[in-house]
Amino acid sequence: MNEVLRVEHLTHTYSPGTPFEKTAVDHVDFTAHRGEFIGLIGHTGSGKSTLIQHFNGLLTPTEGRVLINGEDIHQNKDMTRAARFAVGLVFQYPEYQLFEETVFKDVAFGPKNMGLEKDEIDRRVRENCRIVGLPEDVLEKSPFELSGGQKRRVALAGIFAMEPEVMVLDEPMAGLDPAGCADVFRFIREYHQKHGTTIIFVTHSMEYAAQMSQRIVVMDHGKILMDGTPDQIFARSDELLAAGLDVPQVTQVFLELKRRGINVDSAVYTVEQAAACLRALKEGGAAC
Amino acid sequence: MLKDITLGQYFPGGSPLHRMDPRSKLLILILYIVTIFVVKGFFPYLLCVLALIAAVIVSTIPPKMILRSLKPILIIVLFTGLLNLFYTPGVELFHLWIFKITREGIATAAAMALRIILLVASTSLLTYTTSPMSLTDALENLLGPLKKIKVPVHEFAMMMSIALRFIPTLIEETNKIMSAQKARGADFESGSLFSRAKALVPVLVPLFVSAFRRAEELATAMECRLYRGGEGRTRLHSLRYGRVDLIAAILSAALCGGAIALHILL
Amino acid sequence: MAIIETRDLTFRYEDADSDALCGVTLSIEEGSFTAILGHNGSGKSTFAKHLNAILLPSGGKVYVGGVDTADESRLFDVRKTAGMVFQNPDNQIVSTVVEEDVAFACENMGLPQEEIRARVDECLAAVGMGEYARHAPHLLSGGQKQRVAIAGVLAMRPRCIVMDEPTAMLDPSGRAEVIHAVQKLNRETGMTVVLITHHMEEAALAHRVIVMKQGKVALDGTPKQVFSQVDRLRELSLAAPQTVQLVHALDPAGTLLSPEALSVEECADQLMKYLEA
Repeated sequence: MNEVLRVEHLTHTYSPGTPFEKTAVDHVDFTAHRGEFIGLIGHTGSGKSTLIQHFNGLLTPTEGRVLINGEDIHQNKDMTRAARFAVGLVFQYPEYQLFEETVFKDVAFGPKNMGLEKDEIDRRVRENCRIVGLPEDVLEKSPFELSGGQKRRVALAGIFAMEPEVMVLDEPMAGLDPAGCADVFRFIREYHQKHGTTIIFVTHSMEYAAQMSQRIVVMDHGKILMDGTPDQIFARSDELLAAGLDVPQVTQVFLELKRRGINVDSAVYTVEQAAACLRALKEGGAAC
Repeated sequence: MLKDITLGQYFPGGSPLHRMDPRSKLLILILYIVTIFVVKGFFPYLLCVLALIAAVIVSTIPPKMILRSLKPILIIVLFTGLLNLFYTPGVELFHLWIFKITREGIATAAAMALRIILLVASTSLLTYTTSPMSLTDALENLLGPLKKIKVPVHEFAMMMSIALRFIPTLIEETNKIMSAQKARGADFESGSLFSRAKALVPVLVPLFVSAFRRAEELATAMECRLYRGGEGRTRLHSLRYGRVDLIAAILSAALCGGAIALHILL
Repeated sequence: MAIIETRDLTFRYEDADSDALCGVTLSIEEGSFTAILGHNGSGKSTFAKHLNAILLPSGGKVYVGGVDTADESRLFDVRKTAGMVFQNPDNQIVSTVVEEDVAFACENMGLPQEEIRARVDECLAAVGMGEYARHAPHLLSGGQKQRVAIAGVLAMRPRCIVMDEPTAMLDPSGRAEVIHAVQKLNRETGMTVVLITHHMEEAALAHRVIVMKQGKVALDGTPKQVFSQVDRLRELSLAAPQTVQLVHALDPAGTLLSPEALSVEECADQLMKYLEA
């Protein structure tokens, strides 16, 4: 696989030399490949928010390097600016960054800053608004007239329209109701399929991470604690619980069954897997 | 940039300065400022500087923090200093092109710079050792008599304390919005003054929208907690003068008297 | 005894095309813990705002502690009976010091100083924030801020506490902190709790779950009664807890297993039964 983003020995210390000094990211090595869908997990203060702000050069490492397609993004000013566009970053509650008079203009803000042609901007805005399910007639409305869920879609479309090589989404479902979560979930997946973009999906929820990603990275105390496929990660569910992360209820049920002496695999994280596993166990008596 | 602002920052502690009634601190500060602007001469200033140093030591506030509060006013100090240095008539010491430096110029420049430094340092010491809430309480209390002539003192104090409460929240929010817009390619660092000012629109619009939303929610929450203005309100911490205040008052009177005496005698 | 009663409560926002609440009749018992679930736009928050007279009914009646919320002269009694906690902890904290914030309502009530002191200490202890009394709220975590907000409402000594999505903006550990504090209050002091949420796991901890849809009550019962109706929940586009879904997947007809398996232990019990049968 082609690597697209790599960080080497990345360390970030806030307020160095003051009593408030805090190392948020501590010698992290991480590589993302083209087209990957990565779930980045950790509780508040684990360093994941600090880490992702290095990906597009918003933060400068105290130590270590950030490379996009093999090039250090801090080698000169142009590279740093190019990093902003190569890596799209959607912050938590992105609807609070809307500011333009119309939805169209707001979504076009990023592409315009990239210096794209008018036609290209037009195409990108319309296409990505369609992906996030915003009807044409909304484009000329003020974003402040929309409902909370629709504002979130506009904000997402704003980053989608930049068509970055890597897209980082920080808790894109935070504060939405279950229907809203499911929608956002679907758009991200659709966008990923359409553009083959590398997606890094930051969340507190193991459940979302497990449903969406081929690879899960777990952060704790500024370091990478685990990195692997969902199966590999969930096989270590007890460690996840110890790191203060919630594992899905079915995984907890399987841990409980194991504690009761049933020979099951705790690397189960969806209801379907769990049901299939239990049926197999009942029929054949074989461990799943 | 935003994190350099130290004004209004409060460092909790248990020093005598922290324990003093905010009203006496406020009154003493005013007395101190009046003193440094009234007196002139080396010895009166020495006394004022020593008094401030003593107060800083008693307060247990790291001297570094006091110095940090002076950083933003450095330019003003330099500017006033230079202005006084070159434009005070008197005995000429030195002449360079159109500039001439006089003995009086040096004295006035040093005095002005020192006054500004003492003014800011002493005010910072007050805000470092006094919670914003007790400061507004003190203001409300001291201005209390104005209520009789229908000045909305309580409302003013409440507004101020809420503003203080939301400053850190809104600074954090501004930082977040700036990062988010930078991620969309906004550029705040380069270009002409005009284009930089224009680049702030994507930050200011969301900031104001959010501030309005917060204000509305806060108003509802305050009503739900039975707020109906200053009438009939009691306080958790009522202001009371104590022994520390008495000692501080006597010391400040001595300082002020001493400085003025030195000013007149020398 | 019912502490909150609504009779045929109807509400329409200004310049809206349809009613946000259409004829809700509910009564909430003193000392109970009720969760109200529903999607955005289901009317659950609108309902909550009526319990504190933030909104007044367009039609029907709301009684809080026997007082009609539309009676303006009794507004303070209503608000003292049913305290309200909001979604965003930042926007309900008034002061720069935790204890002064908790004291805010007491100060507004004009209580004597010693009484305020006693209540502040008691309420901070009740939410486990006693040691943060002199801290600055903006440096606390979301869960801690929200607990301070709860303490600030408790200081009024309400009989009922209404929480409008208090956990929506919190991370999992913050959510757990707040929910534990609320459960403890309900259990130990008999405080009536009305919790508006869209998290199933939180609702599962209540005594009673009300599911709202399009301004009406769609389901009402104990968590077990409500969450075991996997198909009905799907119709309402809500997902049952995974434990229930798993039991349901193994035994859709419910002939062998009880779908009322909300906790991990209960679910494991059912699965053992399944494997042994």
